[in-house]
Amino acid sequence: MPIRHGVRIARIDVVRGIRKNTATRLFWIRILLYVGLVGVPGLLAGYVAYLGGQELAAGRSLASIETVELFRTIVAFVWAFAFLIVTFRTVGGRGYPTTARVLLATVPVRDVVLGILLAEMAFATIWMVPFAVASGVGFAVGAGTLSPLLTVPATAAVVIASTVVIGFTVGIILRQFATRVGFVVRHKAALSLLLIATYFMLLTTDRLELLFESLAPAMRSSPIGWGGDLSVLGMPGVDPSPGLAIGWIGLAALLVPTLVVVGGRVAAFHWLSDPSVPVEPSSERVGPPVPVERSGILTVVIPALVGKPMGALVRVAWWRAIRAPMKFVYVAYPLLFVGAILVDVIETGGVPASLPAVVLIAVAWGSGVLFVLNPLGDQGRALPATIMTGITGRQFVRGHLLATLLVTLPLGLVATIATVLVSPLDSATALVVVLLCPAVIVASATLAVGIGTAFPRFTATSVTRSTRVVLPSSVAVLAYSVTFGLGIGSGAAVYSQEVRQLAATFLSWALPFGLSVSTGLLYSGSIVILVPVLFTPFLAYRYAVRRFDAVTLD
Amino acid sequence: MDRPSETDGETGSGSETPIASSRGDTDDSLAIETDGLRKVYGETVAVEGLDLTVPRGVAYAFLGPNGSGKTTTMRLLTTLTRPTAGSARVLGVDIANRNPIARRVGYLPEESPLFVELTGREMLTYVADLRDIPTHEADDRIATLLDRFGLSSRADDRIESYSKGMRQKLALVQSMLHDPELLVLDEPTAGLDPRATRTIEDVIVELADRGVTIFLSTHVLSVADELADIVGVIHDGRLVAEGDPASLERRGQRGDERSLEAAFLSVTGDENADGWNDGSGAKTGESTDSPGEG
Repeated sequence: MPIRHGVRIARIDVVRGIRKNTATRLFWIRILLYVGLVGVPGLLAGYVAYLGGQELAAGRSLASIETVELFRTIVAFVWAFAFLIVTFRTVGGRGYPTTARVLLATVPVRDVVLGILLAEMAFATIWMVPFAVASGVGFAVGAGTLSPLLTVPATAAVVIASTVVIGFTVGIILRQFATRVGFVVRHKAALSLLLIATYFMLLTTDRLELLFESLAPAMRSSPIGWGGDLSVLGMPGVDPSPGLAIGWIGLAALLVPTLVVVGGRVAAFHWLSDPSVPVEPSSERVGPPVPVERSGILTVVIPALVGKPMGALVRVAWWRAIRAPMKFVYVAYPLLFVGAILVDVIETGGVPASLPAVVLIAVAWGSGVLFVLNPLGDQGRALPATIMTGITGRQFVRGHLLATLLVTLPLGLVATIATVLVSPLDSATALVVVLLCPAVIVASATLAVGIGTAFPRFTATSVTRSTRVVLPSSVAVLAYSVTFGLGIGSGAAVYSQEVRQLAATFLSWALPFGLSVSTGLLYSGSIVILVPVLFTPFLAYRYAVRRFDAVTLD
Repeated sequence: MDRPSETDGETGSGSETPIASSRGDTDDSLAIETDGLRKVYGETVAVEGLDLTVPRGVAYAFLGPNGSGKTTTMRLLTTLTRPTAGSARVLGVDIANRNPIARRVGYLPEESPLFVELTGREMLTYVADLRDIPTHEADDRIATLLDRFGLSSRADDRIESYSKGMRQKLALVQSMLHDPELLVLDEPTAGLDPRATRTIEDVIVELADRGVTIFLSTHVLSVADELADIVGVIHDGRLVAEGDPASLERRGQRGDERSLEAAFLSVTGDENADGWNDGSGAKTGESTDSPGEG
């Protein structure tokens, strides 16, 4: 009975997940994203496996360490990555069943847990299967043996089953801590930002890599690395331990059902416990009263300069941002990279010549995501009220651009000039960077407003059970970032021979089948990319204005 | 309220006798006139050949089961969705022209259109500024309306701390800040307690008495009976009955039973019509955004 319930719950969960991604006008974009993120890397993994198989068949080593040790390391890191993903998903929305009130009142908790676990295994399979199958086929063809066709997918299956049950249980425990401990609940936004900042600092200062390097020996000799032996069982030129391979399967066979039971107990405790803070809005005051003062910059100066409708848009964008800062977590990403460079500057005492450009790129990218990457969706339920005021598309778009540029233009200029002054940049390049600064920031915001209105997102995302924010759609973020990156990258390549040389070297190293790219080709290609990209902000602005003028609630 | 002379107690759609006195030319006496209005979402027909006329200065209650096309009709009239076929004029303006309609019409959607991070006063100031209402006029009007709706003491609290009734009242205030000639109200009293319902009903009566045209949808028959000069019943996207409440009640009379509810059940042809209720304000069935909502 629990299995039947669990399978049914999982099936509904998976169908919902698939429909959510397919019953949308962005279906083909999502398919492209899947192909780009999974299909193409999967094929590359298969190609690398093919080359590796050939090397092994020829009796050559793949790395400085023993081949079996290499595979233990790879499997251990894949296992750790999958475990972290499942854990994070569980701490987030997956750690609480959808339609929980119905489910928990209808079937035992263990059935619900089983359903969630099976659904998570299905979702993990969707992501991992292309890699596992392509790698298995690649090894098999390269090494001329059939065994990888079985052992690599079998390894992936054990990784999926074990990481899901262990990650879910650990995630539920962390979730209990994050949602029921008063201090954590009260300071969750600050703590989340601190965690993200720490992660990025570790990542960008190479400390994470050092951490992994120091952990690698322990990881590959621990049970999570034993899967490496299973994955290369029967491969020529490798000497895996059949005992460890069988032991790995046996351990998983023991752990998975045990942790399904343990996970059920832990989930029951978490789901049925009282929250630390009221979930429903209380009738008490939220924050101090904020009377309207028509005497400040926001209520008098800006409306006097740009008109009341645009002034109102700027004012409300800023107030809402200050009062719900979680939705601006995107903006922090590039700033963390800049922060990491600044840490490096402080540690080494030297300012790299690239710092002003990096700062400019960070602020310009942030300019696009601050208020303009989802102007329609950000209106939420208030959209009909805003439309019915009769405000024009031009006012709406300019108001949002102004809300962004009043922050990012001065910030970008000050930061760029300050870093130019302390950097060893030659004066001509320094002048170009400073002069380009306002243009790049304005162009980024204008580009974003067009992309944001083309791919709006209206549904709120649960940050926690009681906090929901409307973030820009992933398609909008991706489309904006790619266009922005193409503009910056091609512009830099057109301007600088050094950049072209660097890019040519990198591409020649990265491209398969011995392909290479000359600096001349890069120069021509960059011009071909840059020219249309320079026009996109104008087109984006026109599109956004027209889109708002004709926007409906359909 | 002055009730207009009784109109034809029944109208059909499409080929049946239209009520409108004129088609093609603007009739200044009409607040709303639609001609064969049709809206299709995919394969779902939300509104089918709707011919509707609402004289200026009347309160018109638009009734219908869930999914009958009420909300879609309101969105069509307020330019928030585009018709698949047919035409409509609101205050003499074709619904293809949003801005002239927006300037003269107030709209209260079913879900309160508010930024919950703002205070009530900030939200109203935002709407007033978007409408470019002169500052002193806006401040005076906001203060008066907040007082009228009993919201003054909480005006500087964030909306996220408001109850549903307070949010609904605030939403109604934002829809009438610019002194509209026509108010389109989608379920203005849905889910409210009796006191909040009474406040909103009183304001609607006051507005109607001042000559503001009211076009409201409701599931609460007592509200329609009490407020409306004309009641229209929409079913499966078609206007199936129209008239003043008394004439509709006569039409639905069954033996001794004579009520708007009996009339509704009669014209919609389903005594277990989903979403119908007895006036408690609680709507049955699940509300959806679109298509076919309301």
